Amino acid sequence: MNKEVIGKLRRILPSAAVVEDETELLVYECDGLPLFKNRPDLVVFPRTTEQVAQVVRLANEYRIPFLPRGAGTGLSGGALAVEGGIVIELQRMNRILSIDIENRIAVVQPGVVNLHISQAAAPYGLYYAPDPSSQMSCSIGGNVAENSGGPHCLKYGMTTNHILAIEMVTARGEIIRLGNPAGEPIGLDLVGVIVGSEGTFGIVTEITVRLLPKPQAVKTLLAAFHSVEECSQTVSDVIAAGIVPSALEFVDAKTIEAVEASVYKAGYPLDAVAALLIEVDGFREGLEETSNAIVEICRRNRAYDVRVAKDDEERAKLWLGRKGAFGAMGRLAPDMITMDAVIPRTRLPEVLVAIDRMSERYGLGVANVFHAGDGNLHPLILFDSRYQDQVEKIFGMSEEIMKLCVDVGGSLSGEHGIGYEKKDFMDLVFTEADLNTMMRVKQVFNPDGLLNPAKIFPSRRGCTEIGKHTTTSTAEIGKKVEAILLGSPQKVQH
Amino acid sequence: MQMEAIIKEQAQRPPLYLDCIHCGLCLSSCPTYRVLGSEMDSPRGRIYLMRAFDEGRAKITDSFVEHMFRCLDCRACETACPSGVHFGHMMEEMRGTIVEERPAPWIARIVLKHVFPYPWRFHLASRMLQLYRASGIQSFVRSSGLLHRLAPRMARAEALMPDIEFERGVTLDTHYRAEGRKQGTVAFFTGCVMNSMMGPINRASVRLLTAAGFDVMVPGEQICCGALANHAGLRDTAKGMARTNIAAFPVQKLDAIIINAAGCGAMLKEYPLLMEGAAEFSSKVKDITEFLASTRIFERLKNPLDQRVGYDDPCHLIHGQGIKSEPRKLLKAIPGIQFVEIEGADQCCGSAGIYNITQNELSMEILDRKMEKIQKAEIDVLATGNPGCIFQFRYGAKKFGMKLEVVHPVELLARSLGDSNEHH
Repeated sequence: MNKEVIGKLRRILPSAAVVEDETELLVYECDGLPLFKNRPDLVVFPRTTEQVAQVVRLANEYRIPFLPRGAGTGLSGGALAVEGGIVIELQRMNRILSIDIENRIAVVQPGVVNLHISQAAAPYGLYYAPDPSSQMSCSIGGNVAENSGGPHCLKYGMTTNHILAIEMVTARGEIIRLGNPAGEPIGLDLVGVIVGSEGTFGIVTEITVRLLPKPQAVKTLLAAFHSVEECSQTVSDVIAAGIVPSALEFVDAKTIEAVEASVYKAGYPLDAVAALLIEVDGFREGLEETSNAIVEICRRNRAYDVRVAKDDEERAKLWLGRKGAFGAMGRLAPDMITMDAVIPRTRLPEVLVAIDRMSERYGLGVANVFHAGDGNLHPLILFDSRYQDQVEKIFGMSEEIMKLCVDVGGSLSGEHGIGYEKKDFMDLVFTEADLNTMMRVKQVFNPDGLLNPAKIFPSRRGCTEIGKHTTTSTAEIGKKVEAILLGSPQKVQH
Repeated sequence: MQMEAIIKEQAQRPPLYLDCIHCGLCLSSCPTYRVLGSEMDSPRGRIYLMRAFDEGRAKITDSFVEHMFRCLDCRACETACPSGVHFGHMMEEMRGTIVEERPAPWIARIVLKHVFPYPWRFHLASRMLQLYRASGIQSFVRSSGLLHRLAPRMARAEALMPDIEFERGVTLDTHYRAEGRKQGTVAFFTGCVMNSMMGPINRASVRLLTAAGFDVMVPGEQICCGALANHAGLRDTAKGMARTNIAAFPVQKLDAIIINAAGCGAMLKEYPLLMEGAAEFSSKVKDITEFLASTRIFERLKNPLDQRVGYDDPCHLIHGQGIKSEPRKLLKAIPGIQFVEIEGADQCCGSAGIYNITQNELSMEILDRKMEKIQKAEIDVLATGNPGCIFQFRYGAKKFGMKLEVVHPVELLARSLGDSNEHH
């Protein structure tokens, strides 16, 4: 990296907040998806919005690509520095600025850990609803970027439903404020555009989140089944009965094995082929009846064991097990990738069977743990990245799973984002016109393409050697999109 | 025996870092990551670097060493890790490799290699410390600001120097008799710091054990457990100490080997990770609270203590040995006590052996955050079961101008013992 740039950065930030040492940069070569790696040229640690803006302006001045990063727990390579450049690490902007109890909002910096918001709001009987499994580590800024979900989004909605206003540094370094902390946005609802833009539209530096009052009562059930079909049928039946569970989670035998061997041991039945974790909440009145109705549906589908958590401690344990599940896969294999496809609930049994067959054919283990209520699958494909043949199989198998899910009427991603991982599959679900429209929106926010390049859209080939898994069809689409992008008069080459 | 299983597996199994699946659930449990927010100062980042080194993608550079030694070795990440990564063990091995290639800071090396392994030298060093304090030189040096001008780092280390009670600890080669009907025989591991600098804690420990009905023997050949050397990467020094200690205890005749310092306890329990033939010894090692909670000591807690008492988990007790409920259960059993749960009690205080000397600035930032939470709890007494942590908190109380007594849980338990029958 240009010494002049480093010198100028050190005038914006304390010397230690500009990292250029090769060893230190190494740990920033990937996020929660280590399958893809590329070392950035620099990492900076701003503490204020103004510092972020100054770094962005400097990067613009020298035409250097840059991208924001939170806790690096993302699963689609969103924080991968595909073209090197500057990683703007926001973990030192980690203060909860205010909690407004009466208006039920909190203003936080992007580096605040998701769970810490709920912990800070707990004394007032409030909490922040979206609860990704990594909530004990992931940052709220990352949640905003990815429009993260979580088990309880089934009832309460995704991150986007809980973000009222943001402060953002634009791709050219201006500081803007969008949204309205009081609720209804004035003018264009651009907050909704930014949430889920995967760190390619701007760098969010302050977030106003909605807090909800804790439900008066909660019931958590665990139902164990001897077959995937019966388990899946239960999911459909619960929803068809008009019940709105706050969460409806599926765990399979492999997942149970890993979780039960871990510190998050939850008491999941080791002899089950599949199990459901079901939660209902709301007013105390009537909740017992709802819970009983669910038990009845489980029994009708031949659940051999159904239990209702007797207290908060048992409830917490059941949830910790679920939330530690991805991380527990290290017990089964050295590496895994987490797929994120969404399918119609009714197609669950056949898709799971098909994935099982693929697993045998490829010789790679698969564990299934996912948000069954909204059909958001998470097949976890297990492998060992030290063996190149396994890495190649991973690309083949993940592509096949995605195609399968799209074929049954599903989509690529439920909550982890497209990022770098799935960008070349976008043409499976979108037409050229769809993509074109999205790209034009991106052009408005990221006119020079310096902010987090090579994400979301099928793009120029060969910008990095790690994107080996493209198929002919995606490559063709990629070229077309590229032509549109390059043909645009606003595009400035770098 | 889980430890044995780990060793056996290690012989054929792939490297331990492969257990890490890079999920990041450990991040917010890590005290250095919480302060610095940098991946290379997180458990996941450190493991990533260890793996990169093993695969030839990283070298032992200055920054590599810095990040490995900036780790507090508190092992909170192990408690958070769903994949059961043996972080502490990996870190100790990595440091061992580093030390082979690059010597540790000279002062730490001298102290760890030439003072801790020898009880009489340790006593001498401790006595000199006492002399320094008693002579009035200390107050002169502190007030003159001389130290601050000469060597800021030395000055900060000096400020941490505890107000030490140089009262006699337990005497080596002694056999203390059980009170009442004898339940069994245990051996007491005195620990070097405990017996030299915190004698009353050891005496209280022995008193509680005898009150619970156990004969207590104190083998004379025991020496420092080797934890500090091991954490610093001096594996051979630590192995030598382990060998001496294992030989010093007549394991087969004992119901348990009792230790009251969490850091030493974790080390003694993990001797099998260091060397062969230690499994039997290690299986007998029990933390004093772990052991007492299973005895009839509860019947003897008679004297009421009317105080607000908080408890802070030493890392090597909660994360290193998985002991959380026993000390709380014992303290709550003291009549009249108002037990207060402190927010973040399971988080490191920043003492971490000699970390508060080698990484003073970071240690102080971690301590500040801790003290704010303790202040909020409005307690009179803070109990914690590790000498380093006790020193750190006493310093913290002084720094924050708090009226806070910092003790080992056994001191409170001993105060509550009815029908006093002092052993002196």
